[in-house]
Amino acid sequence: MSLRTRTLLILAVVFLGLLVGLGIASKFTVLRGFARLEEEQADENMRHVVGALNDDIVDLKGVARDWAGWDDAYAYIDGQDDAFFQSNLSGDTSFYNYRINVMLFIHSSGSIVFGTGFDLEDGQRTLVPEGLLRQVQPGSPLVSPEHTEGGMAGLLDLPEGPMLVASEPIVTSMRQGPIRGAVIFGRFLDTKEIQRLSRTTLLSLTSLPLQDPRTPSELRAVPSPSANRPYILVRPSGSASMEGYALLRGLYGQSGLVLKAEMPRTIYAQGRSTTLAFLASLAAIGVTSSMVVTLLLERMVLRRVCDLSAGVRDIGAQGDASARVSVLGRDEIAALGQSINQMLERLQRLQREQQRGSEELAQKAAALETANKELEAFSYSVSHDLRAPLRSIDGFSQALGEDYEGKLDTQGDDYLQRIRAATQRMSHMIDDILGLSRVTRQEVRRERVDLSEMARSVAAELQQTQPQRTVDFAIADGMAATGDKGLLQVALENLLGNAWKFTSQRPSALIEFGSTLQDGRQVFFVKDNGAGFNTAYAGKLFSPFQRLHSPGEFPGTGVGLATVQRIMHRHGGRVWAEAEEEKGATFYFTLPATGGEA
Amino acid sequence: MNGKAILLVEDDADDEALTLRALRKNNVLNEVVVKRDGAQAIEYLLALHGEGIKGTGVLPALVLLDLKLPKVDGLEVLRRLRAGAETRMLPVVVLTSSTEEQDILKSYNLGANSYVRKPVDFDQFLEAVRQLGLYWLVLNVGPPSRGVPR
Repeated sequence: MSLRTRTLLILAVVFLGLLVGLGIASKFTVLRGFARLEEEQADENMRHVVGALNDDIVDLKGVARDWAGWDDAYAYIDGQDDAFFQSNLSGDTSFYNYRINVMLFIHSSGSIVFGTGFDLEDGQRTLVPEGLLRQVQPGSPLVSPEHTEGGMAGLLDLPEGPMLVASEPIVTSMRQGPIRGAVIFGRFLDTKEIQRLSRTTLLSLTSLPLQDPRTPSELRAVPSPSANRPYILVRPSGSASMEGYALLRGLYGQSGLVLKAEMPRTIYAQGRSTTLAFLASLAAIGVTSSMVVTLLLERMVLRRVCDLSAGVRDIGAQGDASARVSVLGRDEIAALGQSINQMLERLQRLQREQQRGSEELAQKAAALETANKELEAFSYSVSHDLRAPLRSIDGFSQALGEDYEGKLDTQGDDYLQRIRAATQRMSHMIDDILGLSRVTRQEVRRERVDLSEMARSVAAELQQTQPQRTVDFAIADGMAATGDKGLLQVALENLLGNAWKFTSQRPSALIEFGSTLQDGRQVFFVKDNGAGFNTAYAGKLFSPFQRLHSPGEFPGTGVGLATVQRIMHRHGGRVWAEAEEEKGATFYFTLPATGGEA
Repeated sequence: MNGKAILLVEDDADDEALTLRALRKNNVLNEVVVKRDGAQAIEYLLALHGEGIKGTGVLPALVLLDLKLPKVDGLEVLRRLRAGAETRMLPVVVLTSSTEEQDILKSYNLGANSYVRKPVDFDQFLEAVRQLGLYWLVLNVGPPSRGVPR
C-alpha cells in the first residue's frame, strides 16, 4: 500500500471515528438535554393553562362576589326591590359581559328567586341545566354559605358538560349579614371557551372527560389528589409533536376534566437540527481539513518523496552518477536529497578515479603490447638475420677445408675446426635465447596438467637420446598442477634434462621427481645425484648465460634454468635450488593452485 | 631425375652460393634459376607460363623459397603462386632460417608443400639439400606441366 493511500485511509478512519463518537455523544447528552428542556417547557405550558383556568375561576368568583355583596341584590332576594330585576336581570348584557351561561339567585330557604340559562351563541335564554339544579339542592355547600366570606368557586362536571361555577353569599354592600342566600354564576367550559383559553395560552387545547378512552391511563389511575392541585403529564406523541395533559379536579374533588394540549416539539426539533447542523459542519470541516492536510502532505512530503524516489530510480537505471536529484527547501526531505546528492558525488568521484585507473591500466597494457610486438619483431629478426652469417661462416669454413685440402697445415685445419665449433655454439645460443623470449611472449593457457605423466614421457625421450646410459627415474604418481601444458613441458624438459646431463658421469644415476608440503603448500622437486654445485652460487644459476660448469665438462648455453624461472614466474610460481658439490642438486618449484599471472 | 629447372628464390649471396654448392655436391644437375627477390620470382613464373619468354613455357620442377625477401616477401610470393591457375599446384618448399611458429603456420596455410629450416651446420645443410633433391626431384611425382584442368 502506498504512503499516500495509507495516509488518506488513516485520516478517513480517524475522522469517521470522531464523527461517530460525537454523534453518539450528542444523542445521549445534547438531545437528551433538549428533550428534558422540552419537557420542562411543556410542563410549564400546562401550568400556564391551569393557571389561566384558575384565573377565569377567580374572575368569575370576583364577578359573583360583586353581584352578591350588593345592597340592591340583598333587597331583591327578599322580594323587596323589583327595580333591581328590571335594571339588572331583565336584560342580557351581563351574560355577554361575563361570558356566563347560568345566573342563579337562590334564597337561603332553598327557593330559586331568579334563575336562567343563556346561550351565548344565539342569545336566547334557556333553562338552567338539570345537572346544575341537582347541585343546588337545599343544604348543598353552593347554596348555604356558612359565613359572609364563605363563597366558593370551581369546576363542576355536569352531564351537560363541564362548567366553571362561582357561588357567593348574598350580603350587604358593606358585606354584612345575615346571609340571605347565594348568587351562582356558571360558565360552560365548552369548545368556544376552550378556544378562548387556547388563544390566551397560545396552545392548541381540547378537553376530555377523565373517563374518556383517549385519556392516558396514568391520569385515570392517579389517586385523588389533595384539593385543586393540578396533575400534569407530558409525553411525546411522535417525533414532531408532544401532548400535555392537565388533570383538573371538580369542586368537591370528584372526577374532573382533562385538558389536553398538542405542542410542536420545536425545542427537540431545534436540538436535532442543531445537532445535525453541528455534525454536518463538523463533517464539512473534517472533509475540508482532511483535504487540506492531504494536500499539504502531498505538497510537502509525498510528492517530494515520490520525486526523490523516482529520481534515485532513474539515476540507478541509467547508472549515471553525474546526475543529481533536485533539492528544494531546507527540511528533512531536502536533507535526504542532499545526502543522496553527496553520495552520488562520492560515487562519481570513485567512478572517475576508477575510470582514470582503468585508462592508466589500458595505457600500460597498450605499452606492454607494443613492447611485446617490438620484442617479437626483434626475435623474428634475430631468428632470421643472426643465423645467416653463422651459416655462411660455417659453410665457407667447410668449403675452404674441402676445396683447399692439403694446402693448409694441421694448425690451419685446427683453426677451421675451432671456427666451426664456435659457430655451432653461437647457433645454439641463438636458439636458446629465442626459446626464452618465446616463453616470455607466449600466452599462458591454464588447464589441469598431469605432471607425473608428463615427466615420464620426458624421461623416456631422454633415455632414447642415450640408450646406453643407466638412469633410475623415481617419479611419484598423481602429481598435477594447473598451468600451461606447453610451458610446463619446456620447464620439465629443462629440469629433467639438466639432471640427465649432470649425472652423466655417475655409473648409477638416480633422478627423482616428487612433491612435498612446505608451509602448507605443495612444492615439487627434481633431485639428482649428479655433479651438484656450490650452493653459494645458486642465485646466479637462473640468469641467462650463467653457468657453473665449463662447456667442456657439461655442454650447455646457460639459458635453460633462466627459461624455467621465467615459466614459473609467469605462472605465479617460484623456483629455487639446493645442492652440494659432487653429491647432487635439487630444484624446487611451486605452482599456485589457481591464479598466477593475470 | 627429370630435367626441369629448380627455382631458387634467395636474396643472400652467401646462402645462394652455399645452396648451389650443396646441390652440386649432392649431384643435382638440374638447371638452377636464381631470383633475388619476390618481385623477380613472380615476374619469372608468370612470364614463363604466359608467353614462354625462355622458350619453354615449362614451370620449374621445384621452387625453393626463402621467406625474408626484399620488395615482395616469400609469403606473398607463395600467395600469388597459389592464386594463379597455372602455378597453384607447383611444388614449393619453404627454405628459411626462421623456426618461428607464425612463419610455419602462415606458410602451410598459404599452401606450402614443405617447410625446411636451413641448419647453421653446413654438414646438416648438405644432408637437408640431399634429401630435398632426392625427394622432390626423384621420388615425388609432380603435377603434369600441361593439361592443367581449368
